[in-house]
Amino acid sequence: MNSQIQTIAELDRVIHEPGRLMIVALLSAVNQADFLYLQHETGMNKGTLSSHITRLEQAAYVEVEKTYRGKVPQTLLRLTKTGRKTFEQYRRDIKTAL
Amino acid sequence: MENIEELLRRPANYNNIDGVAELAMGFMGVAFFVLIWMQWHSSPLSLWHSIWTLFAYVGLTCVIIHFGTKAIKERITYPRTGFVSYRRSKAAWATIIAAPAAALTPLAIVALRKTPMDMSIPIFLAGSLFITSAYTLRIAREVQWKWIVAGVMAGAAILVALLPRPALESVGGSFGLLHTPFVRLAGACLIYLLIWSVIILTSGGVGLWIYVHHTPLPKTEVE
Repeated sequence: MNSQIQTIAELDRVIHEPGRLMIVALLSAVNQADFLYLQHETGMNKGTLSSHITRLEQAAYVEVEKTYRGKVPQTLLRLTKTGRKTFEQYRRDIKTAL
Repeated sequence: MENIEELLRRPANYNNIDGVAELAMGFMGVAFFVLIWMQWHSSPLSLWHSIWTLFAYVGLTCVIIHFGTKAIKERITYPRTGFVSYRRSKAAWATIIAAPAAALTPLAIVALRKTPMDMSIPIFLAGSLFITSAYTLRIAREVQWKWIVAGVMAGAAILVALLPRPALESVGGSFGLLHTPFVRLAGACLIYLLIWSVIILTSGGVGLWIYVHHTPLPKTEVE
């Protein structure tokens, strides 16, 4: 098989989905961010964003921490080391493929 | 691919979504101008010339900026568009090293020259236009109306450079630099510091006003 085509076939499918790619790209540029920030930046509704975060959490790419800002609940998210490595690899792969 | 790169830049741009970064820079500029002005207009024996006053003043300015920024972020920005904590950037270190180097290089060239030659205005223009381009690159690039601010900054730098020599020398001369090659440069820098600080403070204020009036608080629900 052509190596470029093979690279496309080997892309991480968890990250490759556009919604999750947005989340991972945004989180890769920060230390941590909250749910509201991701909702604002991605324009997704709460349900969709939640389901994508759950999928990323299951893949151990994202850590979720439930906390409070004053009396308001706050959901903090950060990329795990695995998530960061996988995203960097994904960027390299996509560059190669394109 | 460009979309991914753009997404990676978004958190950095988010830092000034409310204009607070500009407000902080403008406040710092005005505070330094006031300090220099007070030193200029007070006797050499006054409190304003004490090194301890300088430390206390700079410390107080930093404390006001730190807690002021934090208060605006926590009360206005985070409840509206969310909280972000940033990673240490490699680019920040590059800026820390590059900025003093860029400022010191032309000064060193002039200082090393044996023959007296007035390079004040070219140095001033290079420095002030460098600051304007940094502002354009870091802040104005993402917000269309801030290109006007960048234009005003560049225009102000050119106007200051065109000020009559005696006007610049009278301002610069008050720092004991009257018979040095830096007298015009010091005068131009001080005048530009005030103008730049007022411009950026105004831009930050307008940015905050726009942010507050165009970004309503979201309804709180369980996430």
